[in-house]
Amino acid sequence: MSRKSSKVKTYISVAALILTLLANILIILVAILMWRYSGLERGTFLALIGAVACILIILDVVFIFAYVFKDNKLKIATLVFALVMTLAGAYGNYLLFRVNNAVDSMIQSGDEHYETISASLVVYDSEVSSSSELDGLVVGMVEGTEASPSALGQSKLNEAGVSPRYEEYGSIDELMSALIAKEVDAAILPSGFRSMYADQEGYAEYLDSMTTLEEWSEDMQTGSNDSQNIDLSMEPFNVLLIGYAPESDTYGLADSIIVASVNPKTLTVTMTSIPRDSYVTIAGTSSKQKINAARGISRQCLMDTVSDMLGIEIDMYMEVNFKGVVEIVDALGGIEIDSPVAFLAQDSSTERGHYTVRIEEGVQWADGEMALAFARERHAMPNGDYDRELHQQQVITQIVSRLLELNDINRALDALEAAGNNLETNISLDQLTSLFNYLLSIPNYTGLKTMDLIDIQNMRVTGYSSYYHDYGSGLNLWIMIPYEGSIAENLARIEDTMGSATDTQEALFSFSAKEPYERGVLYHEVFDEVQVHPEIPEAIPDFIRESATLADVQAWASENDVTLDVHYIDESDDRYVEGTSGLVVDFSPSAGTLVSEMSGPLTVYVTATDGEIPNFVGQPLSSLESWASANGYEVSVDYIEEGDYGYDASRAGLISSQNPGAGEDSRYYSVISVEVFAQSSGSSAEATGDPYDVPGMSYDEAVMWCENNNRSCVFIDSNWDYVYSGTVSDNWGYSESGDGSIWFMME
Amino acid sequence: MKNKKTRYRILGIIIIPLVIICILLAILAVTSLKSAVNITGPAEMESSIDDLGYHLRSDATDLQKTLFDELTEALNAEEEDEELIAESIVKNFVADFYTWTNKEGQYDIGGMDYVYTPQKTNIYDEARNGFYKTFEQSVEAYGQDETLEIDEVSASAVALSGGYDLEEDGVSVHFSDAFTVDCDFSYADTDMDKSALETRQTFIVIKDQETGRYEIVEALGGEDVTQE
Repeated sequence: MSRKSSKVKTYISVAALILTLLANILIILVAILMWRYSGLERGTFLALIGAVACILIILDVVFIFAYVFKDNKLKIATLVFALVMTLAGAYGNYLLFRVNNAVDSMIQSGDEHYETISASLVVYDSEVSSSSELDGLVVGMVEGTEASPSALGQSKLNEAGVSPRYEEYGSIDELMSALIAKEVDAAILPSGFRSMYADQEGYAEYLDSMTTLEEWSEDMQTGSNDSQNIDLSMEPFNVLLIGYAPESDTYGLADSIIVASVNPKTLTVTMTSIPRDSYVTIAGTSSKQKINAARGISRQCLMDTVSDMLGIEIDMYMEVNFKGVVEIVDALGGIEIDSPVAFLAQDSSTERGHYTVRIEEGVQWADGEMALAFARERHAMPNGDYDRELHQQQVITQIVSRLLELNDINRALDALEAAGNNLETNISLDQLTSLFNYLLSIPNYTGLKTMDLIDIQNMRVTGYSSYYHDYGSGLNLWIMIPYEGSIAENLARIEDTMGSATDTQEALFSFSAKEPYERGVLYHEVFDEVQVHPEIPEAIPDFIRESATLADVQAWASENDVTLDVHYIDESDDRYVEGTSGLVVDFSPSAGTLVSEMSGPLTVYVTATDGEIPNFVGQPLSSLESWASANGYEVSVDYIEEGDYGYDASRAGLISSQNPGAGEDSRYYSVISVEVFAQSSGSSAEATGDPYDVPGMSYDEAVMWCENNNRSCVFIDSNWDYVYSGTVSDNWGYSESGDGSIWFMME
Repeated sequence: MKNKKTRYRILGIIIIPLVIICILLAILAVTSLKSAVNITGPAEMESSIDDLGYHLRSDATDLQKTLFDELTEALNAEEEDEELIAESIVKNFVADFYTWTNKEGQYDIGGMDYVYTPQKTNIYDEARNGFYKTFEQSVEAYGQDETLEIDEVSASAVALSGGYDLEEDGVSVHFSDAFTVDCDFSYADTDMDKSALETRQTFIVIKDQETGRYEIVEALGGEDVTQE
């Protein structure tokens, strides 16, 4: 035997030995790793293991024979066989690595429930630029549990050696108000706080003035995983399905909240959508707030809040970010959707403006982007948010249906990886495999698909629109208050699904192909019950924004018992704006000022009406005089004295009637004649004869004094311009001119 | 040489059975996996009239077996007696639908093979939310064996003059072969309270000329009904 030939034989022997050992290790490793999933189809698994064991035994026997009997042919056979087995083992390990990775990312196992809590330290319109400057200052936070953004923020500040004074608030809303009102120097808020207020009209400017000093994120224990003891194939259970759009790398708010109540015995699933704007008491706090804010605190907080709201136990959760929906649906090869309208929508990109997703009206096959757009769209939908909630349920149902029909291993792996990257749940692997096995093993004598055997009931919590007053910003923020009747209706449906309801047996089953059965809507949109709205303190509206006329302002002032001080302006005034004839162009105090905090009249500036006589009835005489002065009219006044027919002391100083009347073409008149209710004898404006009594009176009272004392009076301001409103100055008093007229300085 | 031959013989004796076992186990694994993922397929059936899609479930009652045999016989007869077949269809439906003792759960609605196929899902949903709604509570209250079981059924069919008309998705469908079938049935003596249950019903059965299937398009109350 040549040396070369001998060397080759040696290499073959060594290689065959190494590969045989490697093949054995890899195949045994595959079997061990696969055991985790043996519950899925135990029979298949065991048969597969047996087959692979036989192959390994064959390899090992051939190997032994080759080496014991020094048979070169057998060694070569061993080498080839071992190479194939090694490659198969390596590939199997690779697949299982991917599967295990996905499963471990998705499933939160263990006895304790952990989740990532995120918090932000925020200042508003402040010179504070770092957390270290907060020593001794006031930091606000929401009362809550040990595992919450408040607790996280407090702990991080302590670690950094910062010692502020902490102030607790009952809700995130209250804390935000306090921050804007500068009751606190900084606030510890959930990281998604901007999303909570982004769509509140008028709030953007306040958010823009908020600066985040610190952002923290940490895994914290928020509860226990007792639910992992539930046999999902036997016992009814509730799962909270949460959909969210994460902001950058932190968790956002709950965009989609659905309770899936599942009864495996009856194959009934009730899906209850809860609007994210539902105004409820957040678990662990004392105040009400939109329910999606609960997710901003923690996932456990949201589960507890929903649990409290509906009066049910929430056993498990399944949380998916919207990017995950796109990936999962694409991995499944798409789903079927049925849209009531055609529309163009934003894609899943976080940047606004990417309207590239087209959905047609009717039934269609949707890829991931289409499915997500369909689940998120509300503006184009006939029933807005209501349609969106039902479409989210439709997408979930279709995804489950596609999963149950899956028989392509590659798609299954892709779907699993997509889920692993974007979905998180505390349902254990054993529970999932048990449920999956159960669904696959259901004997089906009906000829229908398994998915058709599952009775899916679509429900949602309905409510009525309302507002609550945010004292910090002065805005009234929109909320939805759930009907009590709706909560009860949904609870009854859930209890029925869970099997606690009792029904009456029907005597006979009847049907007709001419009237195909369609289960109607299971819930009521509206309930006839007393609607309780949060108290909204009356505030001055933004008359300019509302393009209010004087009549609008008068109506509001009358409703709210507010005194008006009306000034008419013309082109010579700085406030004049062309095209605003008859409209309010300025007013003071500003919009949002609470009526309860007003210390004087509401002063409004109205552009004089071009062409029509305004309505002065019910207004003080000064309003007419101001308008008349601005528009070049004379005023003729007759007083209705106390004791005259029709006299009304409660309207003293106000105009009773006018000629010409309101709406008359102003071009045909030069004099406006009015009748005014004189001040009553008990009035402070009653003539005393002494001008020293006039300072401090209002313009109207002073005019009345002059009338009653037959004195000619002139009212001027500090610029020596004639004025027709205000208060007679205490500081200047009066002066008497040579012609006997009295000049009063007005403030 | 002799030693080599012996060696290979021994090797063969060890390996060949292992290969056979391996192949058998692999076949078993694949078969098991296939049946596990074949969720759209039907459950195990006792027997079937496959070309027409009528099946007898594996846990059928004696009455159901007898009635299915009658149907099979009627369908296989040299001269097709349409009225007889229509009666048999109704009897099989009644015996399966109104029997609960052999059902897997509330979702296991009997008689679905015999209803109008284009609306099978609607009819299934209607039954699920109607007559079968109390299945679970009855099983819990009485035990499944003491719920409902049909022990006798008789039917009488009459051809429906003018056939039967239907509208589907805006398209008119006419079935020239249609029958009115009056059916009387009784429940076996079980613990479940059946005092409120009715025991006679009228059905309308059509024959689909394209498929050859007889299907129930209407199930009405006990009174006679003539098509409008």
